[in-house]
Amino acid sequence: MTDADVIVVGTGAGGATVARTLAARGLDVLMLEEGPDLRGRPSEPTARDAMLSRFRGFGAQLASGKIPLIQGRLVGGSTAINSAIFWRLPEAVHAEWDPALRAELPYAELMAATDEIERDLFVRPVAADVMGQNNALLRRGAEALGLSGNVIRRAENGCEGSGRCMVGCPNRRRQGMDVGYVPQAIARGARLQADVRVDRIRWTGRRATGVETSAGVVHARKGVVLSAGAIHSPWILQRSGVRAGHGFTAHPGFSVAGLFDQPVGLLKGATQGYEVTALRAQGLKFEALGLPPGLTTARLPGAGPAFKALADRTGHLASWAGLIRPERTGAVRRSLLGGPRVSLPITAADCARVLTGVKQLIALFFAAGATQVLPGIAGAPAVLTSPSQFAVDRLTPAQVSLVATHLFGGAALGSVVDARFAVRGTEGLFVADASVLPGTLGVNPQGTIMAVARVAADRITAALQ
Amino acid sequence: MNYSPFEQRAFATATAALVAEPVDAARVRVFLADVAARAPFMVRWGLRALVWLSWLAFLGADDAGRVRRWERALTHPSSTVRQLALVVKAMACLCHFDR
Repeated sequence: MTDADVIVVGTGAGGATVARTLAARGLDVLMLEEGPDLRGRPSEPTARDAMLSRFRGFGAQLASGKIPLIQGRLVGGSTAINSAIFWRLPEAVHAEWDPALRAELPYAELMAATDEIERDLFVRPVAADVMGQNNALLRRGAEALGLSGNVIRRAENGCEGSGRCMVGCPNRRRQGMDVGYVPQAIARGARLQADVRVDRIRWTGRRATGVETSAGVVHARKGVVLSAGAIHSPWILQRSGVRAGHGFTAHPGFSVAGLFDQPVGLLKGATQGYEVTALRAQGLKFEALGLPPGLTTARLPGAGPAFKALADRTGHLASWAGLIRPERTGAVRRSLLGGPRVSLPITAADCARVLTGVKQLIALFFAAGATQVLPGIAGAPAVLTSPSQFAVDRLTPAQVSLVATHLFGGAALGSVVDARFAVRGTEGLFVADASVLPGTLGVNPQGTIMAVARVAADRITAALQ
Repeated sequence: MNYSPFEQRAFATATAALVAEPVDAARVRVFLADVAARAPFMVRWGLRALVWLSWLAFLGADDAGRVRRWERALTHPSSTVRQLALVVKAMACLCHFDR
């Protein structure tokens, strides 16, 4: 690998956005990506193949030893495995930030960046002809209960509704960074090197002058930008002698499934096309979520003939998920085995929030016409035929299987990095990804991460000149 | 690392009891070979340990007994036992249903 003006570590929502902007400003940019470059192979045949080739740690990277953390590990990062959901940063969430941070990252500046990104990525609501039954039924349930919701806005250009976002869009319609900003960065002169893991920063005094990678040392003439995500950017900083990793957080999620008399077909229509936002102020958001058969069936209760009877009806199964904003933050630290160890505490208040969410999803299913609902809560009936059968009034973390997506923090603006996105106490080292965010958003983060990275790119450019 | 024929048979037995239908031995072989070749170290060896645990758990059980033991593990009061059973179940479903 040859040297570059700027090395950008990671090609997800943050890294691709920064690389594209820096390359457009005439800088010689080298993008380093730990995962493979699968742009020539847009999708995988099965969930297993996707988990093996596109997910970090086969999807088995755990927080606090038990909560799977879902991250992409390929060119495009998590934007190459997500459902393309694109939310603008809610103004109410921006208002929660520390006043100094709000002054450093004004809402208007973030929205201007968001406007530009939305145009680039063709952000639009899911079209009616690819809505699919899984999404339409959630909408029906929300309307029956009078709960506010939206047709989801996504970064896609002509979605054909194959319901396969997780395994890779077979039609290249999703505008993940693998389709959007990485190729655009390359078109502007940036270079991409995949399958290269960055281990630590190379220093000359306090100045970052390169990176030590699995393929050797690469020198940066002007600077290094870490955009390796909310686990690995803090992790690389720690390995390089910078204190980081505190304040890590995520959106823990849960799912409820329901059976309908009519066919649903999780692989027909947009993977995620409708969301219920009525409880967002309480830190809860619900989304329809279609998954491939190998993962859908794993969610069904029981074993043997009873399990088979349910598995035979997966064509009539709808699957909806909820996410919460957790009360406390965790951390990224060094594990005994030498890799990052991630903690994400789940408190009693979080469990109460999850319980509220599960009850709401059960009500939505019955309101939408489900004949059976599968709440997925240990200690509760596995199959409900009416909402009153779910008589749980207190939930413990052991009763629910949580899966965390949308990782944040660990190198927050105002603590680890300053308003120029420069790592405090260093020169030529910047962070621009979800790790700079001060907490959860309560909504899908790709739009916010990209907007922050777009602002960061301007400031980094100014700092390097 | 690869899973031995014995381990393949043990995983196939656990999967067949879970899904209550015959499982394709070739599919099991390919699935485990894929995991052995491509999954991270912890997943490869974790699954190996769980395959042996499930073999032990099913020791001496007939078809109906294996289903009962699956159900007992999946509803066990210990969340650790439940979580381990759920991991084996997820792997079995990824093997059997993913197409």
